Amino acid sequence: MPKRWVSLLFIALCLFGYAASSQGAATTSNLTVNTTVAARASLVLASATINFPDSDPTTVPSIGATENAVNVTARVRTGSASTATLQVLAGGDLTSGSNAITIDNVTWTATGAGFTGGTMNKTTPQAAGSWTGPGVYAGTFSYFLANSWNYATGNYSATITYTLTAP
Amino acid sequence: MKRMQILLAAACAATLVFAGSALAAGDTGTVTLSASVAAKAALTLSGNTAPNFDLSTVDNGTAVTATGATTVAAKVRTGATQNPTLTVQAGGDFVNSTYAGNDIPASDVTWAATGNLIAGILSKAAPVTVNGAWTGSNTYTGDMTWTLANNSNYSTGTYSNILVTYTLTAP
Repeated sequence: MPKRWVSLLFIALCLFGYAASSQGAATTSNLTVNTTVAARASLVLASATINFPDSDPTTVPSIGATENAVNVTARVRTGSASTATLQVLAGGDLTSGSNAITIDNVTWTATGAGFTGGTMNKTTPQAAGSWTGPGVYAGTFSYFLANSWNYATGNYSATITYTLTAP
Repeated sequence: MKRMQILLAAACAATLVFAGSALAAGDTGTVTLSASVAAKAALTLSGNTAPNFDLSTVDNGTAVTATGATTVAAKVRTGATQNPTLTVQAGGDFVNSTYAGNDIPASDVTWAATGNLIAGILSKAAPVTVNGAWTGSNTYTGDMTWTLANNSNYSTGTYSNILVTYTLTAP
């Protein structure tokens, strides 16, 4: 190709480029943003162990746990009209070898909106809290053991399980 | 393009499955309850806690029973197979302060028992068992009715009291 034609082609390309850039352009595109807010439940008990110290049944008929009052926080994400529940079920009686203290001798009191006190049960879950709608619900539980001269000596233990449900 | 559509469809399906499984949620927390129960013993005496033997109108040789029983309540917390014990022991004899050497021995005092107690003879030399067959934690109760033999060799005079000590033991 002759040198002159090369120069003309270069100039033509420059002019085309200028024309294209000075004309301007715009385009739009839609982005759909989705979010899924699913039900969530989180339960935090400040103490994983509750201890009832040895006490004289005559002078201390009801033994308060050394950990009282235990902070409890229930974080619930659920429908605005849905009711979240907190229940507690004992795995059995307080036992020490072959000796037992029936679990219904353990009671608890509660503070905080929605939290309720009650008596431990090993067969039927007991209500410990109830709330409508999502939120962070904080309260305390205080545990008590009915004292008795009829208990056999020993170190007793039992397990209780709290279940927080967000429908 | 077809591959893109397949991926998109798969992503949507996964989202739907996730949303469906998250309609309800729950959380659990486990707490261990522990209780320490140690041995304890508490003794309560009521009723006639100062039995008196009035020999002023009774001839020697006729036993005298104090009016009113001593009621015993022994609260014991112990092992289920352990045996609590209750004993009594005299602090001394009835000492005659008027005529020295004419004391009335504590062993002249006996008691009858009801409930969970057994009868016995008082002694200043050694504790005497009052409990029956006691096993495990419980509140054991009964009455003790005291009698003085009033033997024929008793001398007149003023006698000291006998202090009787009860000892309840929960092993």
